[in-house]
Amino acid sequence: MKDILSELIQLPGVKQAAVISSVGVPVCVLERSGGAGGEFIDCTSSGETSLEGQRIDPASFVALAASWVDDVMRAGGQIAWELPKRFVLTASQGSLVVHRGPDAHVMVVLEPGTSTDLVSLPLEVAVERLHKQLRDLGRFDPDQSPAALPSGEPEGSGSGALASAMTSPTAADRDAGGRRPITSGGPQAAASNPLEPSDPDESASFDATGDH
Amino acid sequence: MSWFTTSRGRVRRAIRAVSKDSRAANYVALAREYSALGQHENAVRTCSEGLELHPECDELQRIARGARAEHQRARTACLRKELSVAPRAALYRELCELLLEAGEAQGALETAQRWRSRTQEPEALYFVAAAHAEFFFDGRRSHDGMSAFQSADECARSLPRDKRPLRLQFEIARRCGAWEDARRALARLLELMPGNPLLEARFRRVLANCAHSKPLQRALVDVERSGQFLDDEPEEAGTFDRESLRPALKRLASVPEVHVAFFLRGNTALVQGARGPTADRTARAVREVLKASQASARRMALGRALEIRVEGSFGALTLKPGSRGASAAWTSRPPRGEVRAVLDQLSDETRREEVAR
Repeated sequence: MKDILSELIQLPGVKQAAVISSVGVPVCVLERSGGAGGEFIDCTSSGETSLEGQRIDPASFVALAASWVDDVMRAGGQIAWELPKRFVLTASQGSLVVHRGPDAHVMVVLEPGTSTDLVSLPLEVAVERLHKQLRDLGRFDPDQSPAALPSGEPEGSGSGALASAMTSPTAADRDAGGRRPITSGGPQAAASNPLEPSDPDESASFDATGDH
Repeated sequence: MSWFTTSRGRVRRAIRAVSKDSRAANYVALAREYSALGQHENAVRTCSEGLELHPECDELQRIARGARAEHQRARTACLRKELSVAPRAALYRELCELLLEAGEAQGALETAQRWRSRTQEPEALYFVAAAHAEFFFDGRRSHDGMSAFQSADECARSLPRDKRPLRLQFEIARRCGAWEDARRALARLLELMPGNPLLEARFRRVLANCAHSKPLQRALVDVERSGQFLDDEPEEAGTFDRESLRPALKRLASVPEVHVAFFLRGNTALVQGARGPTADRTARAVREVLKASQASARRMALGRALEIRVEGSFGALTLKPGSRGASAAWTSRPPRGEVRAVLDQLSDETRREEVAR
């Protein structure tokens, strides 16, 4: 598994690189010790903070990262049919980039201020390597679809082809006036919405409590 | 050598110009000459002097900021080098202070931990606490707050005459509403500074709040859960000026690669590019992504979420949380150029009026 991460840990600004299962179990976690230029140490089985300046133990971190990916996929399921592949969280004390793979994710943590675009291609390469390893082990069938339905979408809300077509409006839709709905709904539903504002191009949305 | 001599000559001329005429332009010229020579301390001094006479001069402020940062960088590098040869408390202290001042809490934490492991000096604990406190004030993670408070407590016990750990404890407790802990820290500070009118006034205010004090652990967890300190302005729903946002949001939605543009604040969302229930559902989904990401960033010790991006075959969903709200866009590819600029502007309150114009 370390081979998968070998390219990633050579990139400038990478603090941690890991392969984690989709449920958040660390498969391989490499973390840099000390400041810039420090060596990467295998922390896969480490259950507590042991490195200088480390503020969260690797096991907890990867579990939280997997949980975040899950939460975003669940919420994102309401926007588009296809599941997202790449997740980027840029924050004041570092950035997290996760690339979803088959039954497992590859993730990197970057120093604050490091561009997340730098790791885009190496992450894809790492995921491809993970695919290959799993194929060799007979654990991954590339023809198998990742999920029957996106989470958060009720069953029977539309066929796959229809929903897929709805995920990206065409130029014709734009020219025709308003934008085509992303998933279900439509002009009829829009007309019946009591919260519809006067400007036809703009909607004000409110939470389930109906709080304005 | 000749370049150096010429530069020194220019500095002398600039000094003479300032002494003859104290216009802001002369101060700017002198500060620039010092900066060009690498004399950042002199540049900062010149800017301070100029800003006393011309406080509105943006250029002097900009040069002062740059020179200060350069001076800090040079001094930090020098201290690191010296520490590798002859480590001692004074150098560790100065380095930690510089790093904290520059906002490099991670560097300060690593330095303070190294200092503590080498010398076991209790003062190092104060800097460990201060670094954790910086993480807590920025990222609002309860574990950081507790680590800061406990390290400060240990430091205060080892250094009973030191006011810094007590001030730190008071600040942490006050900001999260643990008034009893704030009162205790303030009482100990008053013992060290008896009769201080400012402290006494604060003590009376804190005492009045003790009736609804929370235990420290719960107060810290509440801060982590809500992402808000007691003195933060509450995120009011629906109080933003929609008219000032609308042009920017429309501009964002009119970019060909943008499918839907959003602005979210509290429980209210403005959506361009989708209507009716679709707008409602997508806005809810975007808000869920935002909330989950902000909470996760805090828990993962990554600090404040600045940008969230989700990519797939559907395109990219990008969210930019700001001080007064979050802007978001669903685009056909990762946002660049204009899309990124408008997202930045929308989420940044200070630029909102420019956007509206």
